[in-house]
Amino acid sequence: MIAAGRRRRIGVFFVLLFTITLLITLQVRSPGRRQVGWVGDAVAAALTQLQVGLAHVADTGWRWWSALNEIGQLRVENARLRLQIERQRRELAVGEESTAENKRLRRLLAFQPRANRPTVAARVVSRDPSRWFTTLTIDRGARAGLRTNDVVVTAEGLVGRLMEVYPGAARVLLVSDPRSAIGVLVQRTREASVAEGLGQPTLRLKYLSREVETKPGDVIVTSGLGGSVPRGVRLGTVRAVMRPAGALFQEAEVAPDATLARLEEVLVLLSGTRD
Amino acid sequence: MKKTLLPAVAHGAAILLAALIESAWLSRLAVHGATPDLVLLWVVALGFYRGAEVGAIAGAAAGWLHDLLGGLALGLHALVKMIVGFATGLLRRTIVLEGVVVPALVGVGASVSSDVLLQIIASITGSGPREWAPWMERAAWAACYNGLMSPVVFWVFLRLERRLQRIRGDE
Repeated sequence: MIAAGRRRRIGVFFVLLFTITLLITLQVRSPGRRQVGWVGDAVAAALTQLQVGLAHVADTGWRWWSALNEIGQLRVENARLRLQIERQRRELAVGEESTAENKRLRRLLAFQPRANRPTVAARVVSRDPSRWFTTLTIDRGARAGLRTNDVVVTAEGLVGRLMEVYPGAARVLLVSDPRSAIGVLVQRTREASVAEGLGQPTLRLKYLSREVETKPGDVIVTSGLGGSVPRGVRLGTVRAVMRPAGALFQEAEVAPDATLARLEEVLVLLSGTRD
Repeated sequence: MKKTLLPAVAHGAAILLAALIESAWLSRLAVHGATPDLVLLWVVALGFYRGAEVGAIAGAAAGWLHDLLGGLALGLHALVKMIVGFATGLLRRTIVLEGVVVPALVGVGASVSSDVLLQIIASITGSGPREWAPWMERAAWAACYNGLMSPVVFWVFLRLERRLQRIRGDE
């Protein structure tokens, strides 16, 4: 009886192990190392809508929590001042938030003409929970005209590209994701290179010629080669240059200009060729 | 609905809710880039209370959901969580999940094993880390975070299990 139970347990384990290994093998051979299929797409579309809803709930909760915190702090003051300060702080908080939002949106709007493409503004509603891979979800999707591979930017610079688009939301693959590789130029020397994500805050510039000097502080912009990312979008600044002895090329560490860890609003550049 | 199906539906819903909370809410409360993995902790609890088979099946399903929501190759987390769920099921007769310290240590252990397994599989499939130090730092923070969250998750899990037992007892 015990032996039969053990056999069944081990059987279940190996069937699952084989099935998942097969699934991973098929996945890593597909473009972008992910092939969800129409069923997965439908489930993901429904779940991202739920994520958008939960994000809105969290935003509301956070506003209430901030308000409660403020009230707690003001209790120590006398009644007259408490009322006055509470009103002023609330107004100030709302004002500062509006000012900050206004500033961000103005910078996004100012960026639009330079991008020379139709754009759609979107809010970040959730982030990849896995820690190791860097994707995020925005609250605009196919209904707003977004398509897979559309480029995502902020006024500071390049953020990533759309890897999956659902009716009301889309998933962004950040430039820092290990699966991301973008053709770039060193602005000062016009030296072409590839910026690869490392799954951490900095990127790695590869295949830089040793004959052209690249220095910390050099600005990195997109090369536009390949067509999906427009030319001249700012990516980041060189932080360090590595010249390993005996290597054919030099490499550089680049800090992205866009604050990828604290994105709230982004701009999606719609690609020139629409379906 | 048949009462025999109720546990599967209830735990499925709990895992879905945990995955959504993790991605939409807890991702905002990251400490040094680390967020708690509620789905993993639920799978571990299922392995402990319902055995290795259930742990493995729940781990595979929960991991698939995790991959779908995280924009990853389907199967990475499914494989990791399936193995962790199965392993915890095998340990159920060795460890007693009582108090706060043991669940916390189990949470830390599950988190570390899960991250190590994930890195091994990601490296094999070519999407592993290029620099290990920052990843290890984040794994350490995630282990602490999961250790803190696991007594809470196991408590909620036990409440749900007792409720399910009462409903089945009325049958």
